[in-house]
Amino acid sequence: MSTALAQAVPVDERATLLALARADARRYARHPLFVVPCAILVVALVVGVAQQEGGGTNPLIGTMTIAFLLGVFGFVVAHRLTTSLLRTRELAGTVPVGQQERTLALCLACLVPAAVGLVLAGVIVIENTLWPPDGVPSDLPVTWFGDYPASDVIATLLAAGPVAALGGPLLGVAVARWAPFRGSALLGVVALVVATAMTGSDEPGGAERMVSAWPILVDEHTVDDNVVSTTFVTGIEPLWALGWVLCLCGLAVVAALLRDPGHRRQLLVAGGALTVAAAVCFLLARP
Amino acid sequence: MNTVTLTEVGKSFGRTDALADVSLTLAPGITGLLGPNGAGKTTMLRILATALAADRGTVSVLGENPGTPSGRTEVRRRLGYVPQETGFPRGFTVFSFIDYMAILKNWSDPTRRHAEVRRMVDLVGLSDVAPKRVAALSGGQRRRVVLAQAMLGEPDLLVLDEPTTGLDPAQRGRLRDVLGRAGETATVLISTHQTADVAALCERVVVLDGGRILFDGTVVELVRQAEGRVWLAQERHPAARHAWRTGSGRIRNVGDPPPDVDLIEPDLEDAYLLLVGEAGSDSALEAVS
Repeated sequence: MSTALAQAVPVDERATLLALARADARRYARHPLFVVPCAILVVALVVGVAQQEGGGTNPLIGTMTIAFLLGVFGFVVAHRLTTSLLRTRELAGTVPVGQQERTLALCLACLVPAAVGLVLAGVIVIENTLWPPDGVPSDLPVTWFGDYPASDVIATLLAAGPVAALGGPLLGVAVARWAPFRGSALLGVVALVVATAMTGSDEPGGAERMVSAWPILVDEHTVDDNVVSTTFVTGIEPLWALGWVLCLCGLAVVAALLRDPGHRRQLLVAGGALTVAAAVCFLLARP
Repeated sequence: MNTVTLTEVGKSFGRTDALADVSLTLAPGITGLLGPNGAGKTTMLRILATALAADRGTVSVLGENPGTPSGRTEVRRRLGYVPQETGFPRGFTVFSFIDYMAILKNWSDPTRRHAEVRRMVDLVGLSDVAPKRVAALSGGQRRRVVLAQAMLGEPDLLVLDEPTTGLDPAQRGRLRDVLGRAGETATVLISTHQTADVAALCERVVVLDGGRILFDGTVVELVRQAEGRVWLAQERHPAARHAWRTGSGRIRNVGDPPPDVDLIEPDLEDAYLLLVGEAGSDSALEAVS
C-alpha cells in the first residue's frame, strides 16, 4: 500500500478477521453441497406442515436429517473451501493475513450451517407444538416435552441438530488443514458415518453411544416393525451429552488452528481445557 | 532512496545454486529482470515477495527484514505480487476473487474495499467480465485478474513475474500504461522474456544468468554494448552467435561482424543475446579449462 494509503487505512486485525469470515460465510452459503441439502430440508418441512404432522412418534428424527444433510455434507463443503485456496497458495502466501487467521475465519463461517440447523430445529419445535406427537397407544412415552423434562428435549435437539451441523464442517476444516489431499474429504466422511453408525447400532440403552461424535440419544421401540414409542437412552444425560459434542467442536477448531505456528501456547492451553471439559462431560453424561 | 537491498543473497535447491551471492539495490522506478530459463529470476522475485526465504545474505525490503514474522507482515502490507503461475479457487467471479484478495490484504471496510476493487477491475480492463467466473476467462484475462489484485491499494513494491504472458498486443500496451504510471511512485521489478517490454518500460535492466548478475545498468547502456555487432546480410554468417531471417528476407546476424558488412542499430534483444551468449561461452571455457 502506498504510504499515504497505508496511513488512511489503519490495519484492524479483528475487522479483517470478521470481513474474511463474512466472505467465507458467503462462499459457504453459495456452495451447491449446502444449497441442495437446505432445499431438501425446506421441502421436508413444508411437506410436514402440509400433512399437519411433526415427527410422528420420534419428533427428533428431523435432527438426524439436519445432522446428515448439514453436518455430513458440511464436512465436504468446509473441506473444499479450506483446500480451495491451495490452488492459489503462491499468492495467498504473500498476503499479510496469515493462514491461521484464514483457518479461524473458515471456522467462523461454519456458523452458517449451525444457524440454519438452529432455525430448522426451531421449526421442528413449532410443528410438534401444533401437532403434538403421541405414542401408540397414546399413553406410551415419546421423546418430547410433557413426556420428558424440557432440558432433556432441548439438549437433545441442539446436540443432534445444530451442533452436529456445526461439528461436521469444523471437522472438515481440521481434516483439510492436516490432510489437504483430494481424497481426504471422502475418507473423512466415510470414517465419520461408519464411526457414528457403529456406535449407534448397539442394543437399546447401550451407553456406548456416547463414544460417538454424534451420540444417538433416543431409543425407538417397535411392535411388528412399527415404531410405537421413543424414549431417551437410559444412562445418558442429554445435557452433558450436549456439553460433550460442544467440546468436540471446540477441539476441532483448536486442532485446525494448531496446524500453523502462532498462538501455540494459547491454543495448547485451550486444547487442554477443552479436553478436560470434554472428559468431564463424557463422564457426567454416563452417571 | 533504496527500497530494496540484497546483500550477497544466496539460495540453493539441493546442490543447485539458484542465486549465488547476489547483491542488488532497487529504488522507485521500473526495473526489468532478464535472463534465460533457470537463471534465478523467479527465485529472486519470490525472495522479494516473501514467498521464499534466502539461505544466505541479508535482505531488506521497504526498510523491513522479511526474515522476521513482523517484518514479513509489514512487507506484505505494501507489496503487490504477480507470480509466474497461479491457479484460482473454484466458484470465484472476477470481482469476488479480487475482493477476497483485498480482504487478505487487510481491506476490511466493505465500502472502501469494493470501490478499490472496482477501480482495479477498470484499470486492467476487466469491467465487462467482472461478474463472470474466473474459470470462464481466457488466459490473458486471468493474467489481468492476478495483476489487478497485485495493484490493490497502490503498493510501494510491485514484483511481477512474467506479467505479459498470454496478453495480446493491445492488452500489453494497456499493461505498459498501467505499469508506467505505477512506476512513477513505486518500485516495480518485472521479470520477463519479452525484451520489447523491458525496452518500452524500464529505465534499468538487470540480467541474471546461473544465479549471478551479468549486467546491471540502464537499457541504453546494455544496447550500446551491441553497437557494431549487428548486421544484415543475404546469408547466415559463421561468425554470428545468433542469426535469423527477417521479414524482408535478409538475415539478421548478431555477433562479431566481418569487415564491410551492412551494420544496423542493435536493439535490446540483440544486446541481451550477445551478453547471455558470451557468458555461456565463458562458462563453457571455464568448465573446459
